[in-house]
Amino acid sequence: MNFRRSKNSHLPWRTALWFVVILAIVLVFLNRTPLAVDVELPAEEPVELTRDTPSDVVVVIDWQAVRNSPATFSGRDFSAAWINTLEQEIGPITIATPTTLTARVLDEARVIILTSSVAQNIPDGITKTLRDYALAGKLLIVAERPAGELREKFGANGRVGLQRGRKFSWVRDLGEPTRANLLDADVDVEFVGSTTPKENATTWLSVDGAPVVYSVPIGEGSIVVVDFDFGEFMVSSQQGRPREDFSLASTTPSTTDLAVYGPGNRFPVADTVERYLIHGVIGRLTPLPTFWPFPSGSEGVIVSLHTDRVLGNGGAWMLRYEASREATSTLLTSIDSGFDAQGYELVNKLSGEVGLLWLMQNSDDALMESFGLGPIRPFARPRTLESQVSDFEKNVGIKPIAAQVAGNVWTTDWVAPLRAMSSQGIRLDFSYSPGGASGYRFGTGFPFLALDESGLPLSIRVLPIVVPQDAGEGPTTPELLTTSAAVDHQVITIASRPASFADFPDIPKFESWVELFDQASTQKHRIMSAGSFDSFLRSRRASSVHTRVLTSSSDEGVSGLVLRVTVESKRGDLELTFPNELRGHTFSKARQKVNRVGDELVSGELETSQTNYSGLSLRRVKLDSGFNTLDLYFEAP
Amino acid sequence: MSRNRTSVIYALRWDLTAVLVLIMLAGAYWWLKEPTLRLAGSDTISGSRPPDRAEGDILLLLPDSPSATASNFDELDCSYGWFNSLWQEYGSFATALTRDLSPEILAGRSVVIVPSRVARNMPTAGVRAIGDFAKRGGQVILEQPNDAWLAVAASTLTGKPRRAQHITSIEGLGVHGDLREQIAGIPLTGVLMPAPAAAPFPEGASIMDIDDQPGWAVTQVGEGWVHTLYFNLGCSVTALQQGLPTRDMVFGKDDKPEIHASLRRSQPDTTEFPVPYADLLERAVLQRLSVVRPIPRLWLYPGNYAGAMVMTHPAPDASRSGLALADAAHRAGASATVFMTADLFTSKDATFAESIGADVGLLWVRGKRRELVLETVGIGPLQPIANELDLNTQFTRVNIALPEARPLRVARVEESAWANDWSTTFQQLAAARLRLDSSFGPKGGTSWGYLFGTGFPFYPLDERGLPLPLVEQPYVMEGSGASPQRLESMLRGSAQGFHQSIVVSISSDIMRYDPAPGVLLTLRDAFTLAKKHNHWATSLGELLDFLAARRKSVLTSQWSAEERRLTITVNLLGTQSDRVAAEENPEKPKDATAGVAFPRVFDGEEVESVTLDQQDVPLKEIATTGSSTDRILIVPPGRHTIVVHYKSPAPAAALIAP
Repeated sequence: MNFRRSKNSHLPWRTALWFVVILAIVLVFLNRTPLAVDVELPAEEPVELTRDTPSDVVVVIDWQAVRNSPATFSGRDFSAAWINTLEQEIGPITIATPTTLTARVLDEARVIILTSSVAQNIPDGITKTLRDYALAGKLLIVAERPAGELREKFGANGRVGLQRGRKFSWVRDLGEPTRANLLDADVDVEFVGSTTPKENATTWLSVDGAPVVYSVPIGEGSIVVVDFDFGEFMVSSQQGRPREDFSLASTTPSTTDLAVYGPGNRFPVADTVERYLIHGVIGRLTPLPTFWPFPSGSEGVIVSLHTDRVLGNGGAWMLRYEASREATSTLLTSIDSGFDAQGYELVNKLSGEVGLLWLMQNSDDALMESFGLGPIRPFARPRTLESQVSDFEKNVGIKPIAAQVAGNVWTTDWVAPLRAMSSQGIRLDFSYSPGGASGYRFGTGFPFLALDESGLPLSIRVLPIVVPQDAGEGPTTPELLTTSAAVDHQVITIASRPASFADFPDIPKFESWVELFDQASTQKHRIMSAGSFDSFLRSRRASSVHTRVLTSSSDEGVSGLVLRVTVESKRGDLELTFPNELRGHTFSKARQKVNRVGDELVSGELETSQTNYSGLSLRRVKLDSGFNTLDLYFEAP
Repeated sequence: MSRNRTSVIYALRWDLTAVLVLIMLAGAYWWLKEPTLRLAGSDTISGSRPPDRAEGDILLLLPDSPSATASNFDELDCSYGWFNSLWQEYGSFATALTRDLSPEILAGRSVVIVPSRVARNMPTAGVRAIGDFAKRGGQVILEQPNDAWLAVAASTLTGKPRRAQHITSIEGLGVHGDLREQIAGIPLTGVLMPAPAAAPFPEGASIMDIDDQPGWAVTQVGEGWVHTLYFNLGCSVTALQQGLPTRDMVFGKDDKPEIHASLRRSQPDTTEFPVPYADLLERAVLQRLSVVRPIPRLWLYPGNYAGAMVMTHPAPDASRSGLALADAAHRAGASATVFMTADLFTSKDATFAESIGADVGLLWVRGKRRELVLETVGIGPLQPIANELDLNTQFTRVNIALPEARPLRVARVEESAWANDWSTTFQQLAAARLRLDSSFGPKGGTSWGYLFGTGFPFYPLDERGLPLPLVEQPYVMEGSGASPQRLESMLRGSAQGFHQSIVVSISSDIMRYDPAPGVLLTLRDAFTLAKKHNHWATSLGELLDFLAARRKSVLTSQWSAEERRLTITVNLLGTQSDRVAAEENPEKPKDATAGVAFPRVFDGEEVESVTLDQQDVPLKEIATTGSSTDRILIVPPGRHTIVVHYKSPAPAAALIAP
């Protein structure tokens, strides 16, 4: 009895002892394999973009209508996609809202784009004003899926309602092979079906047999009706098509799950559609000089991108060779690579740039950090983007403005990584990768402005990769360069890993990389870093162009039309493009108006070149830095 | 007692014991998890005198007995520095001990070389015999002679010796252009014996002034000529090649940490070493001998190649990557040397290496950039002791995987980690049966070129001045220091006159730890550049075989001054070279046999005709060296007689003078 009591009386001590032992074992175990804890991605509020500076082209967006549109992918109003299209194809534009649209803006403009956010609910007063401008031939109106009075007066009847189309079935005046490629492309377009076409209308583009872009003459001018959801088409092409609730179907999504075009897609569908709309339709109906989207007369650009998390400062070795070939590139490096301020100094000396290779949480590449109390750290959480940006700044000495999610992974949320990067001041993202095959899986090689689920723009542009590291399939780089130089005129972003030679120096692979420089030179493509190309595009957007149509005087020796273009060029490597034909007149010569010889003002003839721009015939003329006044002469047939 | 029995501790005694056992087990696990490292030592051997050769136009007299172990460089006997020079420049030459000197052994020689230590210890009879040899028309090189040589040497030696600093004048040597500046820049080592002032040759006796006094003088003795060197050429060449004790390096044995071999160089700190000073110095002296009488020699490379280029690849982390580089060389129609580690190299790798003609060497791991080669001792997962494998075991592990026909002979020390003394590492390598080491060279991108005054292999000397039975083959650029521009500049310099073996070292993992575009460009262009500049793209093994065959070959000559006829008798041995075979005849391996070189000009007149075994050889088929000093005749292996006629000078020709 005593014995049993005695034993029981020590039970609490025994329990406590073994509890402590088991606790110690558990803590040691957890210290070695801590429990993972999830963290949230940061987010940024999208912005309502406006740009008041008058220019030839005005795009009108009703941000409130955008916000109020249904919160599904197909229901959301993506009128903001027009901003990217116009900036890419024209350069400087005016972004107005129905309330900021003033007579001054309209007086300066030649084209007004009424996006679906406006065209579906435009105040009668504005309709009347615009009609007057159009009747006088002062303004070309482009209306996307108009409703109400606009549709009644200028659009087809729209009685069939919203339809989804899979093919562009017809296109007017588009050169081969672009035309064939466009008609062959598989697309997903929502359009407004009508029982009959609009009377007197000229159809430019049809989807599944239904006219989706047509123009209607009005007085001295025209109105162009875009009767398909241009915004949704562009956003889904470029930024990817999620499910209706903006989620991705895959539970472990990669960036290829965002792509709507197949692996190895050789044809930039989105760019072709927008170029046709701007230069093939609008540019044919009204004179519309624009800025060429590449610097120094090049036919395209190669953006050279290197990613590294192994070599640290050694990751800059490719930039050394590029510098010797007068090229620059962007090196994205992770915070665990060992890259530091010394490496940045070298990269900077080589005119290169560095950015962050983001080891995103919930991916295999995530960097885990344990936490707890003192030496006992039983929990682990992934390093957040904020801490990676902060560490990058600490190590390298600068804040990253370019980034890529490592490992081609994405979240189930369509836009969350972009929103997170945008919130951390990152302005350029390279995460959109075509997977194992090169090609334009996102319909473009150009950087595009990312939109939020709300349809509003984020402060970040995405530069999709066209040639991924170790691309096993798809068009070869020489093929891409050849078609880009001849027709497509693209930004070809080529990704490579400096560490891919680390296991052993693979000479054939190196040779093919070195040959790229010769190929680029042969095909007149500049190899540049993403930042320097982005800087070029920013200057291009900040420049200005104003156009007036004159009739030529007899002493000019040419009878026909004269286009007087006043340009402020922010850089010395910009070029102006304009159509080869205007209202049935053919281009004959270009003169610059203010060449000073002695004390006299004279005009000098400028050299121009003809370009096949995605099946459209354009002319290019080089601009000087600063103000240029050009007279472009078009002869009657 | 009963209170104790009821206490908590007593009641929990078994629990506490179990906890204690758990703690002890955990402690033992933590303690045994990291094995205890036991470092290995490696055997050493001393240098030895190479076997004497009786045949050759040039006789090198060597000391009868090795000197005492030197405790500093000034005490080192550099007689075998001359051995290195003659081996490099002539290939075929005779050697004899001083005690064997006799009129018989001097008969038929053109030149006798008396190194400093031999000169100091030469008996009177020897001095007399050499004096008689000179009077009969022979040439003698006397290095730092003492008073015993008064009757033979250019002048008496009075005053106090001092340390040789710079070459101050080479008016008497009669060289021009870049070579003039290059020779003047040669760094000298050792003492300079005093000498009376002399005007430059031909007005006076001085060929070369050092520190504003004659450093090399020439005097006519009877019908012959005596070259007196007041500086120590043997030690100057040895110091350039093998390095020089500095603050970072001690001469005797020491336990100081290893240093990178590049720190041994005796040349001043700079990044570019484009001139092989050691070779220039020995050539300046030896080529002067052909002014009196044309002296033929075995060319330094097979056929009429201007030089050699060897691509080497240490593979510290993976044999596969090293072999992939060798395969790339194979596909370029060349071969490369890959240095493998004992713990990674397998017989499968050896079979692949054999199939691509790769030359396999040993990478002696020193634990610098990778972990040591270890063998753990223990049971199952518990391996508490880790023994480092010594060099001999590492050698055996690699050698055993190789086919018998291609035994392991060449080596590289990982990261060129060298014992911080005069010769320990050489002695260890030699003791492990290695015959060629290629660890001397620049460190990465810090510098490039001939840090050790030569691109040609040399025999390192031990503290007694005796050569070790292996050669050191320096490399000229390494890793990120390599670039096609630098390589081409070195190949061009070599083709135009330096005639060097240019060894490039590119580690198979270089693109991980020190990546640079120049590395890949060099790998891409090296063999094309070698071909462009007429260099033999070979491997260290092939080069070693070739040099051994060249040394075994015999070349002697007779000169008829009246008929201006040089009769050369050679017995040439060749060795198989995949590279030569691939270029000449892909179907059949061909011997790599040294060409026969003879002076292009004698007494200002060019060669008139050449016959090989009584068959005329068109002069246009005979190559000229880049420096235009020699013509090189391609001769197949075997015994041959070559007769070279020089044109006769015009009647008012100048006097023959050295």
